[in-house]
Amino acid sequence: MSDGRRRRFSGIDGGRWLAAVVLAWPLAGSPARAAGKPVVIEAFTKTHCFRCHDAKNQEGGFRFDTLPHDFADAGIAARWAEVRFRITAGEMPPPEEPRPTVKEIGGAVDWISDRIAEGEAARMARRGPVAHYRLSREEYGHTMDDLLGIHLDVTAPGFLQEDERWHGWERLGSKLTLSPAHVERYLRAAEAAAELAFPEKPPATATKRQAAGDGQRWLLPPGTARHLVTAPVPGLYRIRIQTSGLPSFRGRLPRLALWHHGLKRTVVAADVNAAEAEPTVVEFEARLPQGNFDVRHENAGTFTLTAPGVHNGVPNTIRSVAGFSTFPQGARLFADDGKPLVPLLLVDSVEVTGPIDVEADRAKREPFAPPDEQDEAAVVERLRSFAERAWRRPVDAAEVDRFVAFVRREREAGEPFRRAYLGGIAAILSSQNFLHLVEGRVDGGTGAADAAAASRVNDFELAARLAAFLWSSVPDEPLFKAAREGSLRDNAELARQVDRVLADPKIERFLESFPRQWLQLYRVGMFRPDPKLYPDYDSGLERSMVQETTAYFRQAFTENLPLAQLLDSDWTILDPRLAIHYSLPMPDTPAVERVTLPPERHRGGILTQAATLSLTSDGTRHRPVHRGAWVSEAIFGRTPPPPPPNVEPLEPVPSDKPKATIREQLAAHSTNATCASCHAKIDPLGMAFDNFDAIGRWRTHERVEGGAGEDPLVDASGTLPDGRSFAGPAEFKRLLAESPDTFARAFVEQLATYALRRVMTVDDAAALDAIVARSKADGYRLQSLVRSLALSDLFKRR
Amino acid sequence: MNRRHSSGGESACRLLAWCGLLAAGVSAAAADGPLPAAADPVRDFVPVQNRFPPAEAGIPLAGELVQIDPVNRRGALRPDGMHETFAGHFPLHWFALLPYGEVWYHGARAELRDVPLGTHLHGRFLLPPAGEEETIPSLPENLRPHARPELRYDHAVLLEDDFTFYARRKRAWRVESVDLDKEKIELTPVGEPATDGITTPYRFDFDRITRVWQGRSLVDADAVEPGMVVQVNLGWSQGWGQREWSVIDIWLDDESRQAATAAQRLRHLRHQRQRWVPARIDAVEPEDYGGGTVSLTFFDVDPQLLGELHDSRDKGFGVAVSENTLRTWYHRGDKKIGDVLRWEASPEPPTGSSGIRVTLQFAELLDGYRPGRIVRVKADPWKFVTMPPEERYLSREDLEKSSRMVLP
Repeated sequence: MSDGRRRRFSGIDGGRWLAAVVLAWPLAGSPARAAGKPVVIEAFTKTHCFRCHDAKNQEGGFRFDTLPHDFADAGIAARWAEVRFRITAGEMPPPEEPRPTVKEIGGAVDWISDRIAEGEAARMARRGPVAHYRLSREEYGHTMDDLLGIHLDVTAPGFLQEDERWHGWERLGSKLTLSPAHVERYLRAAEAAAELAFPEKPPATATKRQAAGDGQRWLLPPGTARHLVTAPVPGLYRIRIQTSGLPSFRGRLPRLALWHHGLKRTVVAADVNAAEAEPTVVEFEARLPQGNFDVRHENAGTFTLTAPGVHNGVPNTIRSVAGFSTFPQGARLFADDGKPLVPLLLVDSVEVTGPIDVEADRAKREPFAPPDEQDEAAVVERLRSFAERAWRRPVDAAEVDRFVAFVRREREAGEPFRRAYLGGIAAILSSQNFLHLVEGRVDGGTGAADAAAASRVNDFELAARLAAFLWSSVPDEPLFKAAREGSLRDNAELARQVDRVLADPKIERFLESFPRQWLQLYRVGMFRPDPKLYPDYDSGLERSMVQETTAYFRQAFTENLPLAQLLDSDWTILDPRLAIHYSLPMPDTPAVERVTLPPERHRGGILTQAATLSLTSDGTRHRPVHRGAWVSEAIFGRTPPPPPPNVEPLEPVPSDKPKATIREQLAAHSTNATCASCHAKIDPLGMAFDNFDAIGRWRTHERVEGGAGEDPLVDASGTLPDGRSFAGPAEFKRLLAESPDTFARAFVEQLATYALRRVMTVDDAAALDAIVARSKADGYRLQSLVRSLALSDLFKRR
Repeated sequence: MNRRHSSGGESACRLLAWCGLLAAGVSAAAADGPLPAAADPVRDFVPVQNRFPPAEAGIPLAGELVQIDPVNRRGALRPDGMHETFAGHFPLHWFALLPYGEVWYHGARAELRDVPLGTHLHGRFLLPPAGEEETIPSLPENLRPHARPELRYDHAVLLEDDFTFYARRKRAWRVESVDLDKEKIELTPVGEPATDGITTPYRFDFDRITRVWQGRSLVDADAVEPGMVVQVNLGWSQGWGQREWSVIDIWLDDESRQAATAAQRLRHLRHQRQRWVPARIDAVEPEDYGGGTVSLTFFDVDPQLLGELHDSRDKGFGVAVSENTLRTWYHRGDKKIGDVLRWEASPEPPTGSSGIRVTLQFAELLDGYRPGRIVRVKADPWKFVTMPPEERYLSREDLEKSSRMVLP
């Protein structure tokens, strides 16, 4: 097999390989890049391994020189992973043998890591003649919205399982499986959807109003709530709350939220700034799940005391702030000058109207509504057209007959017609053809006789891909029509459709979902910050943080800004809560708006947003190595190799030693050769942001628990792997933004992973390079990049 | 100025002088009586919420403790030797203890309830704090003509029995003679020279009711012999109008004196551990997400309590709101526990202050945490004790009612 090793890589284009090496480490990592020549590993193993692990000696029963390089084989990849562990743990070569240099170790470990990643990608991207890509949970919900005009809360506990993630991606075909538990839930969900779409008696729109009454106002200090809203069925509701919102003495605004009892989370919220004498009406129009809601004041703060005649230390209702006095042992709400110490909400009344019947939603499902029972043809036609829309392709008679027969059997068994018909609808929604994007047909499908056609998806599959990519849903009627007419083969027509899809309001779904998955925003708040250390962190702040990042991406997309603006810019999107968090001036209105940052800004760009800075923290402190790993993944598209086992955790600083920053405590990463081999490339990417604490606030000194003396000054300097050095986060961002090629290449690969629902492999490298090259001329503008991918050959490739 | 313990003739002259000032315009303050002749800013220091008074503020006054309201720390003294000058009634010296006002008994800190009625006490009295002129209300109609200037100084910063008064001044008494038949004892002051209290040999009533302490025993009156150096506490005598007192306790030796002090000290320690150490809030820095930092200064209490607070400070202190009467609402329930950020001790603290200032971090602030307000502070090792209802505030009406003394 030793010759096989050489043969495998001899076909590599030498020029491309040279470029890969010259452009240094960040490019050499990802699976979809050019495979590296094994010169590095050969040199390493010859010098340090073969003496004990070859044909003549097999120390530990292990022979190295015949270890295959077929990383696509999971078993072989696992053995190489063991080799890598031994090297990174410092066990191999043994201590008494000559030591390899940092560069040698780094090179060898990188080579092994890259090959392992490539092999994993190849395994994950393996596709047979028919590939099934299961819908993710959010796609399921959006599809229901577009097909039937109904809103299912897909994240409700017990409704649908969470999608299995892979490095933040929630829609990879090879990860989303179908188990009996999944099937059971899909069946129930489909029945619930059918019932919701075509209720026996459509729920009447009602208006309910509650008022504190009699000149009284409900007083809500932070963290308190009143049960004032009920949604009898899921649907669209309009909620009007008349309220005054008094800012704290520092200007912090109260956040009014609707909090669902069952889901135990906020569904909608808004900041309120209205004087006591001039209440405002806060109006929410939102799709609510069924259940009871609290009107809640969402700000941080606890008011837990009980005093005679009051609840939680404060009375239920008051007439006015001036006339209000609590007990001395009650909660303190007001400063000595009478201004509120904490934000306060004074609620007068709550009016709930709903469920509101939306004409547009009804129109979506009208064509599939239960027809008159006697009209057999209508039943067949409606089921057929529904299946066609749901399955994203034409449906032949044999397929429809199964469902018509089902309906008939149900009728014969005694079910009322409506229920039987809805059973048919639910069955269509439970089919694997609905739950998956199916590509390729065993019987040949669209006449895949010629090889060229076999390598491209057909028009329906292309339309389905496009809709799933940019709308997280099924193709709409015009797109479907274009597929039916075969016009998507024409590049001009395809371009027209892509532009139409990009301009449609449903693009919002992509603009929220892609950055969330790409930047792994699900990790924000995963380790809840310790309230003792971060007492003003609340769930409202968490939402504001995530909102900033997705809104920032949306703005960059809408304005078609160059990709470099994602890395570094002079603007961001803020709401009042985040302005306080960033110590920036408050916006005039309690709204989300774009702000230009001052010149001495510490912000601007995704890397210095609170969401991305805090998602790697552990609830008590920042973790610079995790931050470095995140930057490596999100910006450079490379996952660093895992640490060796049994690495000692950081000890708290002893009380007699001076306080030391995390960076100083991680000194071993730079002094120990084994550690430095990997960490020299990971740590600088994270330590560049040491000026930001665990929840993303700017600081100049790092708060250290324990130890003696003053808190030490932060050192955010470092050196990029390509040798360029930086003094702090601003310079780091600038260096990255100045040479965006690397980032662009990684970004296109991330985009393609999301769009094609699979990990990219070495076979896709050329196509990705081509997309990047095409976009370079205009500075890699974001929307243009997305458009370019949608129109590329890669997107049409099976 | 401090010569009020001299003989009666001088007091008559003084009285005329005071009466002359009655016509000169009486202040409308509820503590009745004309203004003293010469204004003296130190003597007439008006306590304010955020300052401790200078040591020389106020006037000294002595008398027998005849009424107490132990729950609100108020009472009345019958001042020494004022009876003979008036026929009929004369006003008692009603007083309220300042929040940092201290009672000393048997050489140790005490509460009013520890002092038996009838005990002769020496005190230092200040003008009422700003805004609290009504705490001791106006005299009733029939007593107004008998108003004295001293009555205006109706907030006590110190009350101590004779044992403590003389021991603090390093003075004692030498027994000159004892006559159990005539029921008299003659004592001569010994020790450091002095200008206050009794400075000349004096004759007191002495009989078999007097408690005689020797060693750790209560002994017979016969044990008292001339030549002994003793401490005494004085009290009611039939000659109460002519500056005559009886000896109600007499301690014959050091051991008995130390035992008395130690016993009272234990009683005080228990009282404070159960009701918690009083302190005054100096500053509050609230956060606008609830909680904040509070700085407070402990009043002068037994150093052992401060030591216990200091040693357990890493567990935090419980702080309950209180009022000027040092009463709490339901301190074991409505307290908040704060983390100790700083413990600062300053040397030579003013009267009433321990000199210890503590800064605490709270997650929730109570409405009563405001600068100048009184709180009571608990150390972690102390056990919770629910106070009986008559000692606690139960409602706003209670609070209102307790803000004024009710004259019997």
